[in-house]
Amino acid sequence: MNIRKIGGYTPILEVQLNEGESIMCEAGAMIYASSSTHMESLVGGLFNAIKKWLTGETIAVNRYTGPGVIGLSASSPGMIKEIDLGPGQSVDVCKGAFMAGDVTLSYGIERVWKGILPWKFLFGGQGFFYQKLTGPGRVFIVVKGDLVEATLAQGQKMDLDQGYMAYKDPSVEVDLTRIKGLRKVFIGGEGLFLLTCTGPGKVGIQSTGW
Amino acid sequence: MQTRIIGHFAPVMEIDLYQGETIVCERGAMLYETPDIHSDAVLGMGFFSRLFTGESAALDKYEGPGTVGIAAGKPGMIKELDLQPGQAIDIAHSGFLAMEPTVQFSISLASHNLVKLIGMASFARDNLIFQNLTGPGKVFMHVHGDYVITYLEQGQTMMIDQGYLVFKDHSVELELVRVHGIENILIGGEGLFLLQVSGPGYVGIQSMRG
Repeated sequence: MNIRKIGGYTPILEVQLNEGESIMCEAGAMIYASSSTHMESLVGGLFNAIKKWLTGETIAVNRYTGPGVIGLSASSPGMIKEIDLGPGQSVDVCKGAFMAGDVTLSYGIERVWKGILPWKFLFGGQGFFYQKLTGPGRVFIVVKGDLVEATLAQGQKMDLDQGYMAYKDPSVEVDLTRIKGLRKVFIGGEGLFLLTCTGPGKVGIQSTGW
Repeated sequence: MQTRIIGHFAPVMEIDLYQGETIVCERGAMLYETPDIHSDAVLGMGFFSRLFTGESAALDKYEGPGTVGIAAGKPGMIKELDLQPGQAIDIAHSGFLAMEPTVQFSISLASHNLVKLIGMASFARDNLIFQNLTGPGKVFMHVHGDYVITYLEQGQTMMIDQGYLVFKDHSVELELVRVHGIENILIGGEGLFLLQVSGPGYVGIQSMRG
């Protein structure tokens, strides 16, 4: 399998598959494919479909099997971030950011909130779930706009505007914190809540939101 | 005539025209012009098919001396093609930007078969009509996002999602093919139909919908 990125602002991920090789893609990400490739939409049961639907992704993942070439695009300006996961290593991908991955990855769902009810997460664009991908394998993530990758030390905090997080390490904890000060809330333009990330780990921040 | 491309993300093409030189542009593509430029509308071959398909029936012509700036007003790239005498290409109607006056233009429909054409009119409107350009002369087109160019051998086929085909050689044939498998259609995210292109000839695919 040979994977290359083509272009600059709106890149295309071109995957060359040999006979019998496969790749998993987000449903709808394909823009072209050789006629010799074979496509299959996988759901993996009703429970998985519901869980995927909750993350804001489409319910299916498409598996393309070679031989042939397929091209994937997010169809909006941004970049494609490749993360190589070792065995057992995971990454949490935010709503809508998953593009493609090796078939060796396992897919799970991670909830955002702690405690019983996600009441705080009703206020904002973050969604309630992450898609958790566990290695071994490569993950390709759609980053809208440009990317800032912040590495947080143990206990170090960072506040993000909601909807701008693309991915994070599972070790990074996330909570919503209310913006202090009535004047800031009402005329400050950031809304009521910010997303607070606590290290250790990496956070991928995109420059264009939802 | 001298052309230069300004910018990267949503580029503008600036054309210096000497006395008597002309350039033919897509209607509405002009961004700015110097006051000495004389502009006029021209009707190409296939005037009635342009009217019939609801496309704007005319193109704009600019005559020097002076400078004209043209742009598609969307993120992407401007690509220049130098057509040999008699060489014919088809450009998706959202992709055509400008051409030298020696180039002949007409409308080409995606298929000559009426049944296929009605099928495309119902399910693949984005790729129903193409601007057919025949050399000699230079052609400038706007590609939405980034692009990939592929050469298809005689009889070789490829599937393209609707709206991503930006140009093709006139020899490349287009057909609408149904996505196989009921669950692939329902949840696969690629819709009911894909475009199948078959060689021989070059095909240009853009990474954003036009």
